[in-house]
Amino acid sequence: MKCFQIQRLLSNYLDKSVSEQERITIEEHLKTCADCQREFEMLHRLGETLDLVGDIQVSSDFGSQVLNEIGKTKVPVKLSVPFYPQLQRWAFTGAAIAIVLLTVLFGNYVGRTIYKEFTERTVAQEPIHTSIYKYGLCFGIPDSSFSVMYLHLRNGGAP
Amino acid sequence: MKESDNSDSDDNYLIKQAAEGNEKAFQELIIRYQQAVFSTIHRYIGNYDNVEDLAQEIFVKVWRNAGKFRGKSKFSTWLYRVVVNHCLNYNSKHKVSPISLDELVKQGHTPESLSVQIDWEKKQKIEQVQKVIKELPDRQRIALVLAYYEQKSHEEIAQIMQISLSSVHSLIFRARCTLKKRLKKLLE
Repeated sequence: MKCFQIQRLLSNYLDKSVSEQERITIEEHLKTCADCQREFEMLHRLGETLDLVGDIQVSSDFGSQVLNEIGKTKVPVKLSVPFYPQLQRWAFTGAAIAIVLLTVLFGNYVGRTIYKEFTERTVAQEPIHTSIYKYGLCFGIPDSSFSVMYLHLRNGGAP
Repeated sequence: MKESDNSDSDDNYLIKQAAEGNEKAFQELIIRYQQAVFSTIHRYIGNYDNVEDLAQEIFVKVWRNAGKFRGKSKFSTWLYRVVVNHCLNYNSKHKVSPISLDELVKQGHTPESLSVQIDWEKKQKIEQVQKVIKELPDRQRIALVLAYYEQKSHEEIAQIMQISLSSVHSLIFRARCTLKKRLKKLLE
């Protein structure tokens, strides 16, 4: 390393904020370079000069003063999850439960309706989708889809 | 303010207790950190007058916001962050330079009345050093105070000031260069 690089690192070196490799390099360099040694001594003296600014004494009743002051203020802020994310979590859980319930109930209702239609159909001979409309469902199940398949299965594979 | 792992976990426990409204726990934290807070403020603002008021404001702020401490950093780091922000805010509002001894003498104070001890020359040196520190740019000054007087590592200063490690190196390097130039006579 060159002198200017070493001198740039001396500040970090004084604060013990250099890597092990940098520390070794700096110390080796200081042994042989008078300029960098002078710079190091100067920084060291600067530290001693800064030491002249001594500590300030804390007044003995400082703690009581602070406690008096906080007695007048509001209680500390409680660590809590903000309302909005909490609401989001509840909404998500509620929606998931509702979807599962609706699926089960709706599936049950459709299944029962289809079954009932087939048992009545043998007498009435109506197309399945018409009968389902009659039970108040808002959509039709075309003859070509699973109503036909259901019929096929129910009749033991006969067309 | 040298902390061990034990005292860090103690601090975390105490601040959690304080967040629940436990004043005794908070008092313990005050006792642990009051000297560090006083010293940092004093060295940063460069005078004695407002140190106690500022320290009190800082501890009240810590009490009010105790519940916001999540334990992601050490309590001391979080506290120093509050101190640094408070000092920077204070400084931007009150650009007060330290009162020189000459001015105080003109106002009728004698060195004795100011409790200045025999070493008048030393006092003048201290005043000069304080003045030069005070003239450093805010961020350089706070980084220097934390590194030099509070013996904080550059990594911790980076966390406290919420800047990169290389920025800390640079701030402290520039602060030292400035001090070296301005205190040249004292250093020779």
